[in-house]
Amino acid sequence: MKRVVTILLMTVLLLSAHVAAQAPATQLKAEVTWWSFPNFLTVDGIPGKHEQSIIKAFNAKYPNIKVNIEMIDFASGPEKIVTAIQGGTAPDVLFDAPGRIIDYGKNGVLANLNDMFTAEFIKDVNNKNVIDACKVGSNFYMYPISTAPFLMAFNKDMLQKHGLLHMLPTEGDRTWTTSQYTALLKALKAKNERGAIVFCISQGGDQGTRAFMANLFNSSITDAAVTKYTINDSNGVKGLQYVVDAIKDGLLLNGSASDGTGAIDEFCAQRVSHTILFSPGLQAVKQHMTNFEPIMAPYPSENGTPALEYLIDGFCVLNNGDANRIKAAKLLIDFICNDPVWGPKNVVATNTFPVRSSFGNLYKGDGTMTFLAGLTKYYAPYYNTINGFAAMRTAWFPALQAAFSGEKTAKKALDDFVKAANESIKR
Amino acid sequence: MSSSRRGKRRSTGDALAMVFLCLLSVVFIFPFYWVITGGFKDQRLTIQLPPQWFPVKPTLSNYVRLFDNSAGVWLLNSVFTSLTAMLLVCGVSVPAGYVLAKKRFHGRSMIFAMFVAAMALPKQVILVPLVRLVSSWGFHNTLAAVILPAVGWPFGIFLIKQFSQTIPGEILEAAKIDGCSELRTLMHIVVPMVKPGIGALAIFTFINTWNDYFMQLIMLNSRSRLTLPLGVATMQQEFATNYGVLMAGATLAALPILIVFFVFQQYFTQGITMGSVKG
Repeated sequence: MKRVVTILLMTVLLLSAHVAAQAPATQLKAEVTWWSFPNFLTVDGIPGKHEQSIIKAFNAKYPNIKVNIEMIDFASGPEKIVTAIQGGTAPDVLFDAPGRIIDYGKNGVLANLNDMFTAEFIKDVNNKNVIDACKVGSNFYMYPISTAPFLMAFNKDMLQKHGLLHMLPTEGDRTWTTSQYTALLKALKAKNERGAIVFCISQGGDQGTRAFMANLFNSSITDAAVTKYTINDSNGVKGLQYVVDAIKDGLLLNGSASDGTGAIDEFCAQRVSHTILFSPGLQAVKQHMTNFEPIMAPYPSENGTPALEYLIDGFCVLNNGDANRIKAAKLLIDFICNDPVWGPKNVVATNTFPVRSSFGNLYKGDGTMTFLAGLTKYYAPYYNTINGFAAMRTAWFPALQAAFSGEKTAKKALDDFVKAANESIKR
Repeated sequence: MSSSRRGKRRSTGDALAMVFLCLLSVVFIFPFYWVITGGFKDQRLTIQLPPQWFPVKPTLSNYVRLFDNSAGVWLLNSVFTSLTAMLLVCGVSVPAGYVLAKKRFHGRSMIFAMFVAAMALPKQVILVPLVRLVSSWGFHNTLAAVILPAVGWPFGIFLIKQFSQTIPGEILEAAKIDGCSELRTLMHIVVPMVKPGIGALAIFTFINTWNDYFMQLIMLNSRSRLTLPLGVATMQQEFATNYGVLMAGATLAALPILIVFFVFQQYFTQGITMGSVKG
């Protein structure tokens, strides 16, 4: 009798284990923590409110996965993440950008997302730069959801008031040449308006100054394969010299005491005519903070074809050693990025553009967003995932300061920068 | 020189000093004024040039936005952590400082030297082990994670030890002869005599815990457990700062510190002067 009962119990146990193994993902039971920078626009001025509504919808599909959302800020968030990883208190999911995520991937603290990069997904994204930005070697570590270019922005009302709006391209892709830009700068100065602040007190927003200078004479920050920095070529030097001269001539402003946020605030306060760093996301955030209409344009270049830097928003999964939690984290990411309803909704909530081409135009009827969406063809190779990217950034703003103060020539400043930056790749 | 002329010169000097001090106080008070009034201005006005020196049309929208974002809970968390840390630090530092100052035992100098050496350690050095320790106790992401590491504050023990050294040994001996227990001696003799030191320590601890942004940042995650400075920081975007909300938050954050300072002000000034000449 004892043996029969044992056999029966064993059978029941095996059957339930089999059923559990066959259970659909919707039955998965786990608790995951999601840390998010304020990449989604706030709802009712409350950070995290949009994220809560995502979780509510996710739980309707996956009722047994508890998600804790915790908001982090851009100023101190990166330090918090690093300490949490070292201290063993890291979250399961992080919503960030490739620069940091790929660094974590290289340090071996992330779970790979290779199973999420299906042939269908890669075909739908249809952008090698974006796909390459998500991986280290053959492993994918970031699952992208949206992208947007970094651009310049002008005070449209100010240009209109002075009758200068026609000097800024407003049709098509709004591409323009450096000589057209110079003409506008001179015209603005003649009207006693101040040019953009070329900020360089810190790393904040430094992607803007690099892209601005590299574009002026069609230099490039790195080579096409993103293996070394090349902005010290003759065109790059011409670009920095142009800025140094423009500052001397009062066409642009020396931003040795300003960072990106400060320079953009000056633009929003209408104390300068334009900013060399702006984005669709920023426009949405700044809407209620400005009394004028900003108008965006790509960086000017000698041949009129810009090479744009861009933002990619995406998710990673931290490897906390629990396969169940990793699985649940991937389900959450899949829901946020690919759910037929919430995928597009979440992209719109970042005021950027979907990486999935199948999402189509999410901003129908919005001329500005349609123009911005068309700029993907100008995207330059994505170099934020290069080895030593963080170390490179610490060498960039001192190079600009040295050139602006006259301590170094443009060539010497860029040569020194490139030497330090290339060394950071090897370290 | 006649005494009347000397007196006149002194009064002119006093008047000049007064004018200078008034100007200086304006310089120090102005940032507070700007922050407090900025909290009642619309975002556009906070960055306007020429600046609006006084909010012509004051608005409570920044405070409304703050409190829509659980600022009340964050404020309570800040007050709770700072007050609890203040009480615990004083509770631990007073007996520890007294024992190190007045009791003779082997290793006393060594222990004191270790406390002094610990004061030189930057927080960043001990942070990761501290996070692991607190996490292993199950306190991570609780207010206890911010309070407990603050309790054994070496500076507090150092400060009270210096104050305790000023207590005459004869009084302690007299208490002992009268049959006072150690606890009674501590409570009825030592504590009243080092009161200014405790007052100073209370203010230092409160301000230190209140402003310990880094520790709070690392230890607290959930929105409902954030402190006021942390909570306000989550309302900032990457390149967009709502200065109105920020200044309203800064005003709220400054209020409890001001209250504590005014309550303990008398002990604080006494503590500073006593500590500077004794020990």
